[in-house]
This record gives sequence, structure tokens and C-alpha cells, in this order.
Amino acid sequence: MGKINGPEPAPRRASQPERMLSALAVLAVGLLSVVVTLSVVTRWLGWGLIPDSVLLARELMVATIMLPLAVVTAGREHISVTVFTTKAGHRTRLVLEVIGHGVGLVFAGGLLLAGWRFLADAVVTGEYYDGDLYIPFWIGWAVFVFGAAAFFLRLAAMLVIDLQALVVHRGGKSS
Amino acid sequence: MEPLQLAAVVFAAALVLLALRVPIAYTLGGVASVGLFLFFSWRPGGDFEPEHGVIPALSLIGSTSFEFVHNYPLSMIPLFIGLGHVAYHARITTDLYYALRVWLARLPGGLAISSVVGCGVFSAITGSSVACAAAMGRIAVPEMLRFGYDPKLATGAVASGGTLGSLIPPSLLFVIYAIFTEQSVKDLFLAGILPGLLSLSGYVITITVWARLRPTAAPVPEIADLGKERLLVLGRTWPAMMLLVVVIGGIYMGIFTPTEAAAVSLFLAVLIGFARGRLNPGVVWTALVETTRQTTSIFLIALAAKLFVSFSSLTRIAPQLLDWVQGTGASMVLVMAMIVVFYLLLGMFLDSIGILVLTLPFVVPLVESYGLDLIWFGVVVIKLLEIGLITPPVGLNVFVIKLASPPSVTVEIIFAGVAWFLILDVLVLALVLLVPAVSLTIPGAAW
Repeated sequence: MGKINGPEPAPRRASQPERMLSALAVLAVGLLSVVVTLSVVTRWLGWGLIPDSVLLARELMVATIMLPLAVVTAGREHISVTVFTTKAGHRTRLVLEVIGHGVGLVFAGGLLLAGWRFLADAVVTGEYYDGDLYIPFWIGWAVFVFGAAAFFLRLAAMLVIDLQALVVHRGGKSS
Repeated sequence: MEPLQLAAVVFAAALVLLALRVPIAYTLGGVASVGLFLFFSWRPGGDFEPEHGVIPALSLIGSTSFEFVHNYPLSMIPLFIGLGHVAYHARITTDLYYALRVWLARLPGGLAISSVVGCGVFSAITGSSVACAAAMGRIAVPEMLRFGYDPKLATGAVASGGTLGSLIPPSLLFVIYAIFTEQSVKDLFLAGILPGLLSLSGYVITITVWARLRPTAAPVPEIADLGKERLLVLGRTWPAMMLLVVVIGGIYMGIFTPTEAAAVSLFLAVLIGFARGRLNPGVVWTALVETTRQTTSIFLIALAAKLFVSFSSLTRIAPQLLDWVQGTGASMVLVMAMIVVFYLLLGMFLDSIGILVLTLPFVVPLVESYGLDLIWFGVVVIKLLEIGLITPPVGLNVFVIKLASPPSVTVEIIFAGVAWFLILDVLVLALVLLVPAVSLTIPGAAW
């Protein structure tokens, strides 16, 4: 598992907006720890300082997981089964990467379309979670859609990059 | 199209794509999305009507995915991953290893014993075997080689010790198992403690026997009696001990839920790191960047697997397989033996998370149908996956240790070293299989 042996198509540097989304995810995981810890401590003290801490943690989880998707994809960090293709040459690996991006686009496209529908619905209905803070549904869905959109766009960019590399490689140049 | 036909086609497509190096998450998510669309568009005996398939497929994809990421109990995964990264950057791991080294160096194979005990303690802070092997490998392997240890012993000990990360709680694999089997994370964590300690003790015995049989493999280092420094280095391990008490003690005593234990221990680790001058905002940021990337990779696989499971449930392929197995009249012992062989074989080629999410939807109903305890079965599966981490050709921990070793230490040398520890692993596995009390005693006694 993982990409350990042999030459691999190079990871790409994420764009500025992608890195910003990833930075937001870092803030989210930090906040997650703070929210849950403060909730536990103040519960012991009988203050209940953090209202809706469970709901807040759930919203932060969406950001933690969805927002770094594009950066992870740019870095080719998704886990794959490599044991059957370790002997493959560079060109074959590029072909396999292209197939992977294509399959990934189907997955990401489904997430994006589904998320968009639910987001639109949440905005129209204006529903919110029961609790003290009246957190609206659309916030979590908007974060979900942002992450899925960035993931989809990055996959499309990777597809183009690897197709270009494949064309260059076919022309006899090293990529 | 008949649901079973569709399921067979989708499963075959998934296997082909996995073999073609398509990332596990893309494969499971992609084929599940297409499968759901076809399922709703192409009813049995009816025509293909894509206009009827889009909306239900998108609804299921959206609701399943969002519920999975919008989840409070699962927030323990990024928090425990973060704890491992922060503990490493705050050099809590390094202090632990050096203290153990000072105390145990004069024993036969003392440095290797320090490494596996360090792995055991670090396992109680982080939830990942690979993280454990990577953190301890970077510190311990060069140190042992410097003191003239046989590379087989040095690398084999850390690669094997790293596997404790999955068995000793907290464990990401237990959390993922809990998601897919709807079992208590707390019970699974507690069930892993005794088998984890048994594995750890076994590794220590293996090293001792190795060092006694071949003293040249583990020369006793010429370290002067450190006197007061022994207490000093022991004192430096208090952060590791405190985190261990918070995580395991807090969960066992019922003070924290596992999610709360994860959050509080991460918060504490950061505070301790700052108080000791080991962390600054930049280092914490780096640790959390590593955390979010690892979390996203793991969650995308689990999310895709959830979609795959939803698709499988609709096609009812699992109950059909179950009926078939029961129809053969196979005994429980035979079924368990086949499951063990199945996981050992898969572990040789596939990643632990991939194996879990791909197999549990089919194996768990089978195990349940024989009335077996799913907490006990969880420990058996995780132990099997641990063995997979150090068996050729794709022992991930072995490759992680290779990265921490000089070029002269080949993968073959590490696999040769690991072979000694595998014998012990098989014995512990047999004990866990044959004596369920090894797994179930602690959860039964917890508050």
C-alpha cells in the first residue's frame, strides 16, 4: 500500500485558494479540541460555558474533513493498492493516474451535485438545528460543497496535467 | 437489471480498478455512485430510465456522506491523530525512548526492548500503527545501529512494536470497526488492552531470547552508570504518563467518552509542549497540517466505503452470501478458520483500512449468524490486520522502517528480522481466538 517504490508522477503544489481551505481545516481541528475540552471542563465546574458544543463539533468536523481534499489530491496522497503495478513504467503509471482521476471525478461529481441540492434546499427552507445557537443547516452544507468543489476542480486539473505529461512522454521527452 | 447481477458487475469493476492503482476512495466512491444510479434507473424487469435514477441516487449520496462527516463521535479520529503528531513534535516520544534506554540498556537486547516498550506507551497516545512505527523508527533504529545491533533485530523490533498502535487504545482501526459494526468504541478500546499488552510482553521475550542466543546481535552498550540521571530522565517522561492516564484511565473510569479523552489529551499535549518550550505556534501548525491531511485521506476512504455499503445493502448481496455459506453447513470453527486465512492473505497485499471497509459488511453478518461476540471478533480482526502490516510483500510498517534506516539495511533484512516476531504474533492471535476472555475481561469490568 502507499506509494513507496519506483518512480511516481510528481505531486503538485496546491494553489493559494486550496491552501487557504486547508488552513481553515487546521483552524477547525484546533477549535474542535478547544470546544470539546472547554465543554468537558465547564461541565465539571457546573458552568456549561459552551452551548451546543456537540453541534459545533459536528460543524467543525465537516470543515476538518472536506476542506483539505484538494490539497491532499494535489499531493497525490490518497492511498492506493500498488502491489500489482510496481513494475509498471512511467508511461503506464501516467495512464493509471489518468484512469484514477477519471474515477475520482465520478465520485467527486456525485458528492458535489448531491451537496449542491441539499445546500439549495437548506437555503430555501431556512431550517436550523434545535439548540441555543439556532445553527442553520446551510452552514455545514456550504462547507461540504466548497470542499467537494475544490476536490472536483483539483481532480480535473490533475487529469489535464497527467494527460499533458502523457502526450509529452509519447513524444519521447522525459516528463 | 437484477440487483444481484448489478452487484456482481460493480464488485468486479471495483476489484479491477483497485488492481489498476486507482485510489481506494475513488474506486469505492466512484463505483458506488454509478451503482446507485443504475440501481434506481434500471429496476428489475423494467427499462433503463435514467431520469428516475438521478434524484434518489443523489439523495442517498448526499445524506450518507454528510451524516458521515457531520458526526460528533468520529471527531475522535482527527483529535487522536493530532495528539500523535503533537506528541512527536513536542518530543514526548523522544523523552520516553531515552528514559527507557537509560533504564533498560544493560538488559540483553535492552535497546530493542526500550524501542518496543516505547512503541507500547506511544500506542496509548496515538492511534495509528504506521505513525507509531514512523515516530519510534526515526529515533530508535539509528540509535540501535550506532551501538552495533544486528540490523535484523533493530528494524524487526521497531516494525513489530509499531503494530501495537492498532491494538493498544486509542486505535483508529477500532473506531472504523465500530462505525461499520455499530459496536461501542469504548468497549473495543478496552478489549484491545490485554491482547496489546500480551503482544508487547511477547515482543520483549522474543528480543530477550534472541539476545541470549546471539549475544553479538545485541551488544550491551558501554554506558557509564548514570546515577542521578536515571531519575532525571524518568522525570522527563511525565507528559507521556499524564497523557496515558488521561486517555486510558479517563475512558476506563468513565470520566470521559473516547471523543472527550481525545480532545482533552490533545489540548493538554499542546499546553505541555508550550510550557516546556518544545512547541511554538509554527510547530503546532505543522502538526495540525499533518493531522488534517491524514484525517482527510482516511475519512475519504471510510466515506466512500459507507456509500459502497449503502449500495451493497440495496442489492442484498450480503444476505444472499450468508444464506449460501449457511447452506453449505460449515461449522463455526471452519468459518472462523477461513476468515482468519482470508484476512491473513488480504493483509499481505492490502492496506488495513481498505481491508476493514471492504470486508466488514460481508463478514460481520456471517460472524453474527454464528452468535459470536463482535467485540471479541473486532480484536481478532485488528490483530490479523496488525500481522498484515509486517508480512511480505506489502508490509507497510516494514517500508516505514526502511525509510528510517540507512541504505545498507534492505527491505529483505527487515522482513527477516520481523519473522522472529511473527512467530510470537501467531501465538498471541491463537490465544485471543481460543480464549475470548483475553479480550472481554476488561470491557466487562469497566465502569
